[in-house]
Amino acid sequence: MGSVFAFPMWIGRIAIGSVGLYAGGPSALPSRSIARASALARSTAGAVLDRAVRVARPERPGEWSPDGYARREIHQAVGMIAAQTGGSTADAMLLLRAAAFASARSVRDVSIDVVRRDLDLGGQHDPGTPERNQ
Amino acid sequence: MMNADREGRLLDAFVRVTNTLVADYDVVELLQTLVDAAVDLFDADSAGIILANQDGELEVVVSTSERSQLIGLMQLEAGEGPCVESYATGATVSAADPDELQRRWPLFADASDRAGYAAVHSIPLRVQDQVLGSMNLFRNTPGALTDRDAAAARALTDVATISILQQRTADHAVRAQSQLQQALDSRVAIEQAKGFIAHTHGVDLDTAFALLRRHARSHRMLLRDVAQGVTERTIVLPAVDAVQGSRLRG
Repeated sequence: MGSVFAFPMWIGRIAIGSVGLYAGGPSALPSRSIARASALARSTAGAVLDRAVRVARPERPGEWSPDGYARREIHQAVGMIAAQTGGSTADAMLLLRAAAFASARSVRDVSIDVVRRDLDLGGQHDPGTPERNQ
Repeated sequence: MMNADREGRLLDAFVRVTNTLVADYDVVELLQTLVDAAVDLFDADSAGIILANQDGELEVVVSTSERSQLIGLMQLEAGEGPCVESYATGATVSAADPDELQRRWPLFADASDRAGYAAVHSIPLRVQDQVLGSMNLFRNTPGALTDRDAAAARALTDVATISILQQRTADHAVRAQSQLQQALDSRVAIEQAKGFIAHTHGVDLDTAFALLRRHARSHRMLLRDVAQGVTERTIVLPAVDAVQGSRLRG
């Protein structure tokens, strides 16, 4: 074993796992490859979390299309979480669903807490560059 | 009685609404202009517009305040009240005091009382047989609109409605419903951007909305494009201090 590269799988501050790449001899990854691998690890983390939440907590009918005002609050919460975590709105939606599952509450109730600033899903960001051990 | 200053402002409101006929615009911005002008001109404390979405459900598309009671009132799940009735009948519906509200729509009256409103005036967004939604004026004190104000509010609403229906894409007329659905859809991006800015700028949601609108106007951009740019981080709005914040909301 010559080189090891590890890429974090983060969504917001939820650590899903990591992706390891191994090379036979000593080597460095070009920065473009690092960027690609990081992006792949991140999107895989999103897919894993999405699936986990779907399996653990099937979407309730009409959850994303409740009556109008609830919908506004959910959208506002998604924007706030995106700003808190430094991620996309798609990731923010995922985090909102994960937080609802983790606290056994509805997406709407969690959204209300976020909008009232009682709940901050931010904190630790995706660390980005991988550790390198050559 | 309308004084010269108000006539000037009414004229100005018509100009702003009809400007949309010649320039690129978004429906949300047009309707927001309409409710802001209506509160300013017609002695109302709050105003909001509900539109029917593609499933025929009524949704608030714009309002003068983020107050949840105002929003909830307009799309009361019970499906009763002047806002809904104006949409359903295509006629102006108004109630000048809490007693009348209570007599006609008891559930709505309870909710409007909790929100602090004493009188409501609802105008349909209507062209011929097609009713798209309603424009609703709320007052904290009892009293009906004067006939002249009611006529002016109706005319302003009609012009806004016609403007929406006039909107065309490059090669074909867009059906009103898809046009309106677009407005409701762009609300998603706008609400997300409001939440985003509320966090990054440490302001409330009304101020966040004011910042978005100000940027759209000063850069001649569509509101929904600014909203999307904010959450995608291609647009960074300048910081705002407390004094500015309260002025923006006012």
